Order: sequence, then C-alpha cells, then structure tokens
Amino acid sequence: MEGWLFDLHPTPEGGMIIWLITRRGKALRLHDPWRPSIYAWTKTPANIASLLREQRLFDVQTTSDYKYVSPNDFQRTKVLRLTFKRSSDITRFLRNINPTNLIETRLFNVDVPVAQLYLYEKNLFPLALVRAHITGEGISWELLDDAHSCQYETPPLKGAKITLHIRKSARVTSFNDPLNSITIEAPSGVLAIDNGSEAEKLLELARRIQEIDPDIILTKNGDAFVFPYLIHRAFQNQVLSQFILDREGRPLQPTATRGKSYFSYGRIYYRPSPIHLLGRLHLDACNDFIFEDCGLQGLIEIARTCRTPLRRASRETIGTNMTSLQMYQAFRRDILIPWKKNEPEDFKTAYELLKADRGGFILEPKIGLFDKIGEIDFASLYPTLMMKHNLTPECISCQCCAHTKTAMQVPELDYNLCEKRIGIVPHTLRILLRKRAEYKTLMTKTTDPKLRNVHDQRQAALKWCLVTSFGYLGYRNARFGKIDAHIGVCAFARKVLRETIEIAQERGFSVVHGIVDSVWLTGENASEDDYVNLCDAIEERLGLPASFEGMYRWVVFLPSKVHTELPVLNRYYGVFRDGKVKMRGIEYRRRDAPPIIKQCQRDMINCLASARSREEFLARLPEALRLVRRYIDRLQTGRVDIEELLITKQLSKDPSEYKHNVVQAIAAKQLVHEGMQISAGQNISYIIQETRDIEKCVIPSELVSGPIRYNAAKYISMLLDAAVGLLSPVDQDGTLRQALTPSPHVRVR
Amino acid sequence: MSFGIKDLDEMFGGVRKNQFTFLYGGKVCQAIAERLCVRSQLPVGDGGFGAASVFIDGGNTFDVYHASEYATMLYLDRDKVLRDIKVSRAFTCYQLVNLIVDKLPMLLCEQSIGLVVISNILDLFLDSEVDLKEAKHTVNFLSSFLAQLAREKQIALVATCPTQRNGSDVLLRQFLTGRAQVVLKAEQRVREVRFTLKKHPSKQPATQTTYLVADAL
Repeated sequence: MEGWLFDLHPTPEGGMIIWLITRRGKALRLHDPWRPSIYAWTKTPANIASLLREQRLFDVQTTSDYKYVSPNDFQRTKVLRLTFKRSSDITRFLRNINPTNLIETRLFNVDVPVAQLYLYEKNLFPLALVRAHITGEGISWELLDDAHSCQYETPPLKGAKITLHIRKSARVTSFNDPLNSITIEAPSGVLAIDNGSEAEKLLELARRIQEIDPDIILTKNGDAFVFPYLIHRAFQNQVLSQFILDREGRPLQPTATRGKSYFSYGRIYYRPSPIHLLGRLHLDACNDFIFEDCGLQGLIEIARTCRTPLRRASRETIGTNMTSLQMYQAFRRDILIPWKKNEPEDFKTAYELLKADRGGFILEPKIGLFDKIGEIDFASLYPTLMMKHNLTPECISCQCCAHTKTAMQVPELDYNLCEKRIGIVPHTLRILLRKRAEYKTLMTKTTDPKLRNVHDQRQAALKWCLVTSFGYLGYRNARFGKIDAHIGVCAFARKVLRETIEIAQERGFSVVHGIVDSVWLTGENASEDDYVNLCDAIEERLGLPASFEGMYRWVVFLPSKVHTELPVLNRYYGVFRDGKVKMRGIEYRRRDAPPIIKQCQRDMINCLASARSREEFLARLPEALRLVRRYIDRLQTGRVDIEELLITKQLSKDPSEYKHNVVQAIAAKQLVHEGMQISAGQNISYIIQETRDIEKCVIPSELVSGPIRYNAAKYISMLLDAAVGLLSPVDQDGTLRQALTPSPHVRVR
Repeated sequence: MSFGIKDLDEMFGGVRKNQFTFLYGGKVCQAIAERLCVRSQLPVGDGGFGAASVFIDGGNTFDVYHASEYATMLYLDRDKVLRDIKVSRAFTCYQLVNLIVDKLPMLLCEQSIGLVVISNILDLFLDSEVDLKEAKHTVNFLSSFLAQLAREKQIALVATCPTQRNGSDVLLRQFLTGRAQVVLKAEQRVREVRFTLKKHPSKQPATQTTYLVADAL
C-alpha cells in the first residue's frame, strides 16, 4: 500500500492507527500493534525496585538498555526500558508514582506525545510518501520521501468548510439559540442544510460529511464556538451518539478541559481547547497560528520538518513544533528526552552575572528626520550564531574542553565551547536554515506565481521556527535549553554588531542607530554600491551573511512619548528608495489602535513617501496636515464606520479579577453579563461612547446593534496624539497639536 | 553573623553556622538575603563569617546592584565581594531541587562557603503547572535536606519566602517552619519593618519593630 501519511493516533486498546491518503485521494486506515516505551534511570537501585513495584499494576515489559541519560554524556548508561501495552497506561503509571521517588529517579521520553514517538521510532514524518508492508508483527514502513527535501509531492487533499447560521435570540449568540441552517463548501459545490427539524439538520450534516469524506474540515472559530455549539445542540436534540464527523466513527465529544490562558514574553494569551476529528484535519482559522500566518503549505512544511503530526502541528505553538524536531534529533542519537527537565543554570559569580546577563547590542538613535541613510541587516543572525558556534546547552562550558587552551570562548565571558561534538540545537538549526535558504532560492528561480507562493509559505513557516529557537534556549520549559547558552548567544551577537560598526567606520560610514542585528548608517555621498561593498566586507571578515536592506529617501527616528527628549529603540518610519515603506512602533503597527487612526497615519506616510529628501519631506508637510484635518472633520461630523472606531485590547486577567474599572474590563464584564465566557488572554473589541455613566463608557463590538454616540472628542485626541507624534521631530516649536486641534463643537452621529 | 540591623541582632543574635534559618514575610526578605550574602564576607570580628556566600535564586530576583551598593557602604572591595557571591537561578521547581540536592553539595565540597541563601524557595512550587501533592512531598523532602545540609557542611543556611497575597504558600511553608531551627517573620510597613521571632532553639518568641526607611534595605 502506498500513500501519504496523513494522520495517526493511538487506540484505547493499544497500538497505533495510521491514516494514509493514496494517490487517488482515498483514505486508508491501518493498525500497527506497536507499544510505546519510556525509560528510567536512578543512582540508587532501590528506587528502581520501588518503581517496579508500582508498575506491576500494568502490563509492562521491562528490559535493560544503554542510552545517553543527558546530552552532556559521552558514554551510554544502563537504563531501564519500560514498554507499555497502551499509551494511556503511561499516564496512569505516572499518576501512581510517589513524587519523592522522582527526586532521585529520573524518567525519560514520558511526555513525548505517543504519535510523535511512533514517528521518531519508525523514522517517519507526517505527509511522507510511504509504502506500508503488513507483516505478522505489525507494519513495516518503506520511506519513499525525504524530510529534508524542498521539492516534494503533497497528497490530493479534499477540504470542506462548515459555516453555521444561528437564529439569535439576544445580542450575543448563545448555545441555547437554535440552529437555522448549515452551509458546507466542498470541491463538489456549496450545500445548504436548511430543511427539517434541528436534529435532522445535525444528522444531515454528519451524513453529508461522511459522504463527502473530506480530509480537511475548515471552520472559523471551530474550537471556541462552532463545534462546542454543535455538540450542545446535538445533545439537546438527543442525537449526539449519531453525530459523527470523524473517520473513526466516534461521536463528537466535548473537550474535557476549558481553554488555556498562558504567558509568553510578558503577555497573556488565550487558546481554546482544540477539537480534533480523528482521521481528518480540523483547521480553525481563528485558533491555528501557522495556518493563519503561513497557509496550508506552511503547516505541511512544519509538520514534515518538525515531525509533528499534522493535527498537533496545527494547534501547538511554533516552539512546541520546533521542540519536536529537537526531540527527534535527540532520539536518533540515543539521547533520552528528560521529563521535568531539571538542568539549572551553572553557578556563576555575581560579578560574572553582571557581565553576562545582558541582551543584544543597542545604539540609541538620534531623534530626527534623516536622509541618505542605509540599513544593513543580518538575516537569521541568532540562529546562525547558534549553529556556527555550537551554542547549545550541552556544549557551553563543557567539561571535555574546559582545559583545552585552544577551545573557543564566548566573547566577554569565561565560557568555553565544545569542539568535540555538535549539539542538538545546532543540528536542528542546520536543517531549518538550509531549507529556508533553499526555499528562498527557489522563490527567485520560479516564474510560476502559485509555486512561488508555495515556497514563500514554507519559508515563512520555517522563519517562525528560527525566530523561536533563540527564545527557547532561555525558556524554562524548553527540553534542550539553558540560560547560559542564551547568554552566550547574546554575547556573540553583541560582538558581531560591535565589529560591524568598526568595519563601517573604517570605511567612512557613521552610525545613526544600531539594534541587535541591524545598523542604520550614513556616509558622505555613499552610493548603494558602497553599502553593498560594505556588506561584502562584513561577510568576509565576520563570516556571516549581511544584507543591504536599502537606502532610505528619508527616515524619522521618533522620541519617547513620555520623555520627549529620549530616543526610542524601535519607533521609526521611513521610505526606501524603491518606495517601500518601513514602520516600527507607531500606532499603525499597534494592535490596540483603532483602524481610523491607523488609516490616518498610513495616509500621512504615503503622502510624505513621494518626498525624495529631507527638504522635500518638509515641503510636503502641509499636505500631510490637510489629511489629518480631513480625518478630524470626519470624526467631528460622524462620517465614520463603526468598524473604524474599534479598539482591540487583550485581557491580562479574567474579567472578575479586575479591581479597577479599566475600559477593557468594563467591556468584558458587559459581555459576561450577556452570557459570554471570557477568559484572560482573549481580545476584546470596543468603542468609546459619549456618556457620563462609567459602566457604559465603552461598548463591546458584539453588543453594537444600531447607531451609537461615540466619544468624538476622545477619538480626535487619540488621532492628534498619533499624528503629532509622527511629526514630533519636525515640530520645532511644539505648536502642531494646537494648530490641528478643532474648535470644540462636536456633532455626534 | 549579624544582620547589621541593630534591633534584629539584639533580638536573636544573628545567623549561625550549622543552623537552618527560615525568613518569610514581605519583600524586605529579599533585601535582607542579599545583604547577608555581602555580610558573610566581613571578617569574623566585624560580624561576618569571612567567607564566600551562595545565592540560589528561586524568584529571579537577585539584584547585583543592590549587593554592590551595600558592599560599598561597608567599605568592602565591591568587585571582590561580587566575585565571592556564587549565584544560580532556577526557573522551575525541578531546577531548584537539582540545584539544592545535587549541585550545591558539590559546590560546598569544592569551595569554602560560609552562607547559603535560597531565595523565594516556594515560588516555583506554587506554579499552577506543579501538582500540589508533588509540591508537598518535595518541599517536605527539601526542608529536611536543608536542615541536615546546614549541620553536615557547617554552614549557615537561610531560606526566604515572600508571602503570597492569596495565602497559597501557607500550606507549603509549614514544612519549612517545622524543620528550620530559626523562623523569622519580616513584615514591611511604610516606614518600618516589624520582625517577629517565631522559633529559636534558645530564645523566646518575640516581636521587634525597627524604624527604618524600607528603601535603605
């Protein structure tokens, strides 16, 4: 049997179900009686005996094996391999362990999802073209594909999009509102299910899905609303047991857990529990970052490269996907994957900590409007440094090279780097960097726009993995991370930027701004060729690919909003000579700015974009200010759409936890009052209203059902902040705001 | 070793070797812990141990600048003081356990250390991802391990724990208060710090209010 490995999942009885898609697009179900294994290691044999007592409850085979207990090890260690009949037994086994035993006994490969473990063990990957040979002992796989390949065939996948039409009884749709109709968009056409009772409609949906038999079911908000709603309605109509949408014949079930609010880089995010359909792929356009950002091709690329089952890849974070690739690299090298990773930071002196614990290199910009500025960037600088210098937890300050005089050192710090082996992280990055570079080359070679888009989606997905790789080195839950390696990468990056500036200065350039992996330079009469030559010189001297982003017609480095005399590192906008606009840190880029303010800033910059020098920029200012006045006039006279006024903010906590009446909390509480479930990390969109009632000073978008009195004065003030802020470096006498402020008569829509 | 806070030193005489001291309460615990790491390096006659110190950071809160300023205040060589404080940060409770159980005894064998501070010892166990049963078992184990380590290695061992607003630390804290020889509570107010000696092998429980500008700590 030949086909693409589409989906796989363990069964409650034991073994693994694998779904193949054949060249004709038919889905085949295979069962492999495979058993998952975990490993245990302890310093004291008595602990193993205790563990074995606990595992007698289960059907477990125990054997001795030799593995690397830590990536730092040079020799394999004798460990105990525990092979379970069912994957669910592992969870039960772990629940039974006395936690005190785990202080001296370490378990491995425990929390690697079993489907991934299967892929690692069989050396397969999702969407791989394979041939399955059924033997007496299970399935023998023949791989006809290569995970490293950039030009691969994908299966002929069939998709269906489900849209619900609900009869709303209140302002916010609730699970108690009856289903009006369902639309299924499939390759065969659009199908409307609108006849019969609600139960009949639900069963008709299930019947149609089995008939169309799509590989992919696409929804919008499927995890948070569509499927939970359908489950609720099927339950209410007593047809839940017949409401089957997957390929395994299992009725749709509510998820056992609620959505999750989690922190990442100081922000809180919310993710609803995913609804999976075994044998099919459920893509939720609202809960699938990779699919949203990089399309289906990006998702397929991530699943193949990181060896994460497609279903899991679609819902997990980029970091989790990238970790899967690291785990696979470890698995293939016989390195055990730690459960509850406990490798801490190395002891260092407070003096070393002071020197070491710094981020990237930063050279504050000069505030103002500049022309004749060029920008040089290092593409994927951090991942490249990590790969080039073997910056990985097991190779930093390694004992094997600690006393080698020639061992490479981390700049500024006393850390040596291993020269005897390449670590897991660099192995992983080599694949990602090579594939991304190849996709970029393919993009330049192809003339077919469709194929170009495919390559673009795939390289964009890999870029996200590379972006994540550095953060994961310092992430506390990363399997293969350590803060010392994270510190080492920053030290190397600082050195690179310092040396780049030195090289630029040697060639007569002066630096206007520098941040982490980019520098903005100016040179007396420097041409584009001079910048390109400078990049070549940097590349030759540092061995890192520097790229010339372009020369700006003009660029404005903005000051801090609070301390107007201080520059801000990442708040600027400018126009390259080819007309491309670059903006960072201004309202246009902010998620919480209302669209009308973004439009105003965009129009202002577009108006100024045609200026080819500082002087022309200043000459075009009156035109840009006329634009601002037009927007103010629209706000004053009510000629704006409601959507243009929406402010979207993320809740940092659950609505009930807010002690102060901040506007997003007021909006969230209104939604809760209407029966909606709102959690920390969710986005709330609202409009500021003209009222003295603090409880109604904002209205959530979901509750807007007609004309509203928006607070025009507030929106005008926000607009002025954005517009004047954009031009503050050229507002010498600080009179711009006053000049733009309208007279206080406000007509309200 | 004295705290360098007159009222507190008078109340119970300071931190001793072979002793496990548990300090909990307000954020002031953090500042006291950092000061102790510096004071450990004072000569014995000046109220120190004349020895290096270790700071195991369970809250990612160690303030190098504060330690440096305090060293300057005591007329100590700032760079030398910083070089004689060994720091390691734990970001998960498993890392913290590994640091205490595996790495710390090794470090104590290799180097002459007078004081070990484990700051924010419970913070990582209060993480929502950590099972409470596991946290209880592990903190219980750690508490007895630390008391034993202080005796065996003849070091002064201080664990700190800023109290949580929601009181989630109360349950786990009892394991530490049970095993520690000295338990001291520090409550920070606007212009004073109130110290309460809850447990001591030779002194009666007592409360002492020290009027000092909290920022000075």
